[in-house]
Amino acid sequence: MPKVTINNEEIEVDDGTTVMEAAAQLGYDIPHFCYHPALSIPANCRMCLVEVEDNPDLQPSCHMPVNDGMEVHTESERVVKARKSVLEFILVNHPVDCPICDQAGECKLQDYYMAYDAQESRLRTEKVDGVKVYPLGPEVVYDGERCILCTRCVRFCEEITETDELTTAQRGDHTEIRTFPGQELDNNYSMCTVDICPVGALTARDFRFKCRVWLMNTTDSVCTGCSQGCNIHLDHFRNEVQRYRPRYNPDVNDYWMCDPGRYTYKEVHQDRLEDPMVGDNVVNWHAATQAYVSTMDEALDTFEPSERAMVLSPQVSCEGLHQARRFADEVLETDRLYMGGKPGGESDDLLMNADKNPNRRGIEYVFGGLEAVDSFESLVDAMEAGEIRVLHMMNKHIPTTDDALRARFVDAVADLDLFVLQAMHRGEMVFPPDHRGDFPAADLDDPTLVELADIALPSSSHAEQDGTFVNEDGIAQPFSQSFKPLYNSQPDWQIFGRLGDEMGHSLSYRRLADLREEMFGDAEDDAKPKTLDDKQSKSRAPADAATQPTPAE
Amino acid sequence: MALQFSTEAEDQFQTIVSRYPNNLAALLPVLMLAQEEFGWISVEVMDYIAERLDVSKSQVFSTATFYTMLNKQPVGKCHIQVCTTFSCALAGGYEMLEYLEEALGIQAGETDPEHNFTISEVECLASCGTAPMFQLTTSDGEIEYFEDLDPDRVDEILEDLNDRLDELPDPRDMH
Ligand code: SF4
Ligand code: SF4
Ligand code: FES
Ligand code: FES
Repeated sequence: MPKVTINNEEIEVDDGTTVMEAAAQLGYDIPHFCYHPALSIPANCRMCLVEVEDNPDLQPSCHMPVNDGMEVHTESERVVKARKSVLEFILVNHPVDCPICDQAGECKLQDYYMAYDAQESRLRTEKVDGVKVYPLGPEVVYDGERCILCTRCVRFCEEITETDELTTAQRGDHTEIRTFPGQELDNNYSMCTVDICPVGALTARDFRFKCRVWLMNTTDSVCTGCSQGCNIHLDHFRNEVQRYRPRYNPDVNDYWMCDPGRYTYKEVHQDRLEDPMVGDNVVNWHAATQAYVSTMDEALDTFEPSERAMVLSPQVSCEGLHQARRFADEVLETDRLYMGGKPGGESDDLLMNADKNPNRRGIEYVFGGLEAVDSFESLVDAMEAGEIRVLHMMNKHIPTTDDALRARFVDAVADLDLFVLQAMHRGEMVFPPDHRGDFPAADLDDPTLVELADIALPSSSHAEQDGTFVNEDGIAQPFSQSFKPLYNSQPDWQIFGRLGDEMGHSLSYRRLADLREEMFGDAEDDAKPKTLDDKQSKSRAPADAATQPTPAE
Repeated sequence: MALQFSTEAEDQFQTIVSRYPNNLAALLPVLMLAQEEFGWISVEVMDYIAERLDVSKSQVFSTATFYTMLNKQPVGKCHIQVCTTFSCALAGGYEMLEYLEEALGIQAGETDPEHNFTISEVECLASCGTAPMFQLTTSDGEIEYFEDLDPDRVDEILEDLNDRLDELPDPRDMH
């Protein structure tokens, strides 16, 4: 294994390691634009030049493999001067319109300019104008003046999605990014080009001019769009989610996430069930709880355990499901459990899964397998047969696109003696109306279920609580609270705790940590999702991420 | 209407493709062939070439827009490319360009309404020793250099060309 000396520190690295990677292992973040760890290396931006001893020319460190005995300087005077010159060239035709640029604050060009260039333009000729607002596709807008032609976006479409939409057109200082005439940048991951564009040349239509980046706070979270559970940065400002960005996790989503998934943040704010309701009346939690206790007490006296049922939601965290299990067990004393959640939808080979629920494996984990949970069809059958009189339903998704079955379910609900709905939304979510409409398949914005409910309890979204989702591959992934529960909602685990306590069972936990310990702590090892033990570390970049230079975001 | 190489062009296409290690490498000569065959490189032609070479459309677009010798708009039957780089400039390249512009009534970068002539100003064509010079491309695919030019010689050339105009196809009608 070659040994190399970087800035007088020696390090032994694997064969084929590049100078940039070796430097990163020692903690030197060499400035770069075109290099991205998930893409091929064109070495076209020259920002990463370093000095290699016995080599008359500066070398692009992103591309140059280390040799044994190599001596590298990444911060020498020559290197710093080269960076300044490279930046000056890159900025020759750049409009420097940072004040109106969405990237400002998270822009590599801006950062490097401040660090290495920091001078007024010496150019006295007019700048070459580029295109200013050019929609490359339904989600992405291009600004030709800001583009530094690093070709990250082009390579993303060639190498990751393999859809080849983007390319460079024209040449010299007229070069711009384009699609083939008549085509659009329209794939399931097109907004990832916005993430990897190191400057403000690519912006997402959804986020353009919405919020300055330095105003936002960021929480580590997990996308709820499907069972892949892509790790995300949840960027929020004043209790409102502004956008999702993918968060690196090589086991789950690498650096990417899908476009439909990115839009699921809208679920946090759209069409929420804001307050508890008893019948048609908006009430406070105290009144709702009292109403629950009196009606449920009566129902428990009147109906056999087998006439009571619960619909579980794979949209809810393991913590909420753990409480649902205890509630069904101890309060409802029923083992009639049914699977709710969103119906299946589109999938592809990269990340998107057909199961549009983030936590089906969580139900499997919490309930020790899915044998105890029956299908939604069998619920409807049982309801129609009059076997079920009392139903406590988590979330109001109906997990089917079959209109007949949906209608049968709604009819059967109307015949119930007691119907409790514990849900985030009034309507059935309700995918972003202006997004390409095929995700998920059914989105009837139909508040019927809320109207039919004797009692409706508003639950919080994943942005408003800590929790855990177990993804398709059984990887348990914690997510963190971004802001306090919106409106009058409460996290599901707390709702069950509150109701359970009032029903005379001690169900609540003072701290989520206690619940988690009970849930994860005493499980048999082999029953656990495979990474439950180190779930903390999974949520972050893995330990060896230090060996990879951070991608410019 | 779907484009199709003529039998002759198809033979040439096959020869070109067989000469290169992969289709991407053959792209440039194939585009030249296509320009000869179809008069100019329209979006339709790029599409056809991408399909024939099995390379991505955007790659063809990128290459076609990179090279100015590939005409993305139809030019005249006679395309005169005048060099005005150093040697030619010193030896009277600009004067010759002006003379041509005068004679044909169009400026560099323009095509006459009948689509008979297009003049372009170009960089060095590697004929510096015999400056000033221009390259003539006719729509039948012929490329010719004219060197050591002076006004008389230019008149002569234009006269010859005027005689040939009727035989030359109009690039606009070539596909
Ligand atoms: S648009 Fe952004 S990612 Fe694409 S080439 Fe330009 S600077 Fe690079
Ligand atoms: S693949 Fe699934 S989890 Fe990942 S971003 Fe898309 S919807 Fe979200
Ligand atoms: S040349 Fe190395 S990062 Fe661009
Ligand atoms: S300068 Fe005109 S041919 Fe070289």
